[in-house]
Amino acid sequence: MTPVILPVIVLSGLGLVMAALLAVARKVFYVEVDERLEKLVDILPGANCGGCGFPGCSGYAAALVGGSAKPTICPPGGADLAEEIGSILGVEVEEVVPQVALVACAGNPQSAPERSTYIGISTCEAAHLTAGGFKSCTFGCLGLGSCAVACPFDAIVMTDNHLAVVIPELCNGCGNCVAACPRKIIKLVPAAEPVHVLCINPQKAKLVKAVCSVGCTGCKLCAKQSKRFAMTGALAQVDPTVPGEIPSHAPYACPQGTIFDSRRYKVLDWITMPACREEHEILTAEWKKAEKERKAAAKAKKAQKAKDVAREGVR
Amino acid sequence: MPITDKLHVAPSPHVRGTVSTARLMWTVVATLAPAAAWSVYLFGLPALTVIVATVACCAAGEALCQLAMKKPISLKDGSAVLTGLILALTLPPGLPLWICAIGSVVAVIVAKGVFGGLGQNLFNPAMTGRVFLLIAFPGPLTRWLVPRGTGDTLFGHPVTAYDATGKMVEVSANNVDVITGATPLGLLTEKGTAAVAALSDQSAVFFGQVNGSLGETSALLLLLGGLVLLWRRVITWHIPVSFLGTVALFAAITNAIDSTAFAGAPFHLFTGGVMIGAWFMATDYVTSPMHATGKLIFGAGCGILTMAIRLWAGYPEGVSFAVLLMNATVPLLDNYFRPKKFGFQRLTRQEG
Amino acid sequence: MKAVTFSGGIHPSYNKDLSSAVTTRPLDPPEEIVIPLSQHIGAPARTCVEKGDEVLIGQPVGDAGGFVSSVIHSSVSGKVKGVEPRAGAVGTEVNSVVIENDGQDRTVDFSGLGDDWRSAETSELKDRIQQAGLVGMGGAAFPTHVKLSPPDDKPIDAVILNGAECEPYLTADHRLMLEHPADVITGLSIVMKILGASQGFVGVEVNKPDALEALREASADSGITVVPLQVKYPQGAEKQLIDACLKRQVPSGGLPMDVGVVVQNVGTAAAITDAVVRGRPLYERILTVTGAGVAEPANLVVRMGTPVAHAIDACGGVRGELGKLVLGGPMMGFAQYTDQVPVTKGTSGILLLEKSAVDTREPDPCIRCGRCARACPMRIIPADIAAFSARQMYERAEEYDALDCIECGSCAFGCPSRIGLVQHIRLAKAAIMAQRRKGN
Repeated sequence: MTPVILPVIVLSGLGLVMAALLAVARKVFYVEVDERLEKLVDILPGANCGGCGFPGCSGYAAALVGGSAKPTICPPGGADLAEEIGSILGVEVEEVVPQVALVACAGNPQSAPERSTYIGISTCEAAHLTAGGFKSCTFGCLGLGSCAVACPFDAIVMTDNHLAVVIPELCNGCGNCVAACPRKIIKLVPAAEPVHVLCINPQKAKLVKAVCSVGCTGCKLCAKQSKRFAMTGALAQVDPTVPGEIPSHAPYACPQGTIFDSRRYKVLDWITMPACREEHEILTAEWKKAEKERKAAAKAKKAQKAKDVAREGVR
Repeated sequence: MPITDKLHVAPSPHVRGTVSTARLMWTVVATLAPAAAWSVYLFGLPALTVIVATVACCAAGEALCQLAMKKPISLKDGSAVLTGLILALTLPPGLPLWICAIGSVVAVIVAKGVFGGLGQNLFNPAMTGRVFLLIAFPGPLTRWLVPRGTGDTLFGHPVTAYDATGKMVEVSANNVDVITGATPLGLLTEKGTAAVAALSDQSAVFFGQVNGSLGETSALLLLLGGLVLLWRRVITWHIPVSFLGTVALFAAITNAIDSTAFAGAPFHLFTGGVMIGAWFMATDYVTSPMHATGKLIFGAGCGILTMAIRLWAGYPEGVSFAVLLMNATVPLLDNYFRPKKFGFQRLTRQEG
Repeated sequence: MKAVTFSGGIHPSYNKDLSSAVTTRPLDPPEEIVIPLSQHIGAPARTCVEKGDEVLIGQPVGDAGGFVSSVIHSSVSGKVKGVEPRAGAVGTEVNSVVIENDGQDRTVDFSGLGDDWRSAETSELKDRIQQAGLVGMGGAAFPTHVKLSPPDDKPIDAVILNGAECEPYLTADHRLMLEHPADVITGLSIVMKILGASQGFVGVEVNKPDALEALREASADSGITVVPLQVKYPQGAEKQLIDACLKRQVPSGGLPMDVGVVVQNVGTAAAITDAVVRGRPLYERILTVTGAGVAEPANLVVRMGTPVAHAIDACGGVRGELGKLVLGGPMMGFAQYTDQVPVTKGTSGILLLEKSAVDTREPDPCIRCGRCARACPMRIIPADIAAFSARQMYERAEEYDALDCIECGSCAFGCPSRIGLVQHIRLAKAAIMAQRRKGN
């Protein structure tokens, strides 16, 4: 009997001693944690996307408590989270404009053909650094998916026609893809903005047309439809600082079909489904016809008026 | 003629050497072939079936693994065949084929596939397979058939005969199925140097007229194979030289201290798995260090562990254990013994 | 003298006999010349001509855009058609002066110093070199006058001319040394005078015995040593060449001048002689058109701005199915997507590889065989750096000395798994440098 009892006593005693030590240690080495920090960590999204610029959500929380970070810079959290953070920290919160990423290129292999066959590491950065990339347009999307790899929310789809597309519903605007794209094609735009120019090629019309059939040539026809289109050199872009709504016919004015309107199509459909483009062409033709008629009518009216005036004069 | 087709663009360099993974692997297979053939000559069909079964099982295991992981099947690169061949050469002839199959599965799936396939494994697959079998099936793994040309005795020691049911019978009986006998190293462990004294003087252990695992028999053929690897620049000299050198030194010293208790250097070099281990197992690229200093240490470690196991541990042979243990040190060795880079040392400037 | 070398390196198939026996011949310029304003490392040149201007051979069309920049000269006489972006050698469009060749080859007056250079002021020699638009002609195209202006605290005691021509296929330097050995030696003497260096070396691989002999004869009694080098790639890499000739190792992150050495290409030396002695600016150069993809491999004297296609046509055109068009050698040259890129000051060769010679297979996994580390002339570990780079662990890549890589391609050449080691390291280097710029 004794051989069993002794080990039991020794082990139990050891256990008790250890337990006592742990209890003491808990009291002695207790670390004061700011309770706001715990609350913040709880409400932050936990995606660790890095969109705030801090190492993960806990890093952001620590920076918030330390006062070195603004409560508004968590892209996935948006305005609601900023408000919550503000109430925990007891600070005023500015308005947050939610943003999403946009891939500003629609040049698939048909419209912007490949100029060479690339052999090498299958990342956009690597291909971009090798002989300026394999695509005829040196500004166009290479479609090797470095942005999709960088996206912590799986919001970027690589389409069959070698283009990257951001699904706005899934995008939190963290900006990781913006940094990942070697050609700087991806930009953050206000989520509420429906119309975009899908091109970043700043070159003149001759050079753009030589490499892509859907690139912006800088013809300025869109700018005539809405003040919201701003020209930077030979590239049209939607200016987020100009207020107002872009009329729904604005895309029809673009002879290259570079302007995309999310009020009519989903961006993934626009990029992947030829039917969207076909429909767009028909609508464009209709609009042009109507525009022509309208102009003709206006001209006739004007002529009539002039005639009337002349007649009035005679009389 | 204008260029009409799209040109290829790729980063430099635009030319490559002719060495390929497949070529390296098949070269090693080829250099092992003579030793394998010799074992078939010595032991006959029991040796051939072990080799064929193990190689086939390894190849099938690798293919299954790659199918399951949806990777391209890469049997053509020869790495699975090589693993199979090396594993087979470490097994005794006449081993039941189902045991061969289990060893193959452990080698290519457990030791290699689950780590991520070729290039990712920490431990030598063939050695892992063999050690697993040695621990799991100690009986079958230590039953050594006697080679061709041996009669009632093996090096002057009695042999044991079994009938088809595994019952021990008289050697001279007419229902003898297999005849087995202890290996030189086994004799050494059990009976001391006196038992192998006759052996050390004879050339049998060098030329291979002994029993043991398939690939343990002919030190000569393995040595030749290893030299071919060196000549073809498949391996570098560091690991074999430091491995064999350490074994020789260790044996020479212990032998000099007490020649009745410890056998001499030639005996230790030419028996057991030292030859195949030093040239073919410890030199496995994936599981050995990349750089010269690390390789020397790795080889020396293998040698010391092998001798320690042979002289003082329960097992008569320790090459596979030694190689596996040293495999674990490879990441450390690679990290600490990197080559000194160019421009690292300050040079005295000659004043002109 | 015993042939010297460095540790590491590889032995590729050299294929130099395709063109090494072909005497250089001048190539008539085409009707239209496209002269890029950025042919060198540093700031692009500023254009100093306009559409419609008449230009002569040797007349500047671009002024240096800074100290680390270079003057660019017209290589034909004729009329400027415009200044516009055209295809350049690195795949992006480069602002270029397009000139219509009138075929008369009228030149500006070339007035050189003749033999008087020995008594000329150092500053005048340097000025002439700068005004002649000289850049390193081995491929990197670093402005020569910058290399000849080391800071005062870095005294130079030795000048080494690089005649190794270790790149496979290329024979332009070989032909130059054989046909104009005196120019090479004079160029070296001028550089030594400018730098006040007491020792002069010309390193030549022993696979060019005729060039070695010619240089020995030309350099007799000049105090210049012709050093035979072992045939090994990259014997012509600056740091490896210094190691071989002088047993001095340029410290990691340092430059040759840190060990009192300046290295110039033999082509640059000959061009220095042209500029100083004859007053001719750099508007043409020797290059090799070679490879299995061209009908008649040759060494040509080509005007800058000549489209590559024109030079290929002059060598009998493309043979078979063309797979790759490379400017420079096969180890460090740049693959092109079009044959319309112009020849520039740094173009040492045009290499045409057949489609069948292009390896399009995916790489195998690394088996850690260590060949890359043994081949590396900088003795870094390409396999480890590439593995870190592929996982975007750029800090680790930096710890493993990724920045010491000279991108010679020895590692990728010998890799049995065909891993794009150089490309991985290049990406790591780019990421590390970007991070550093951000940090500053």
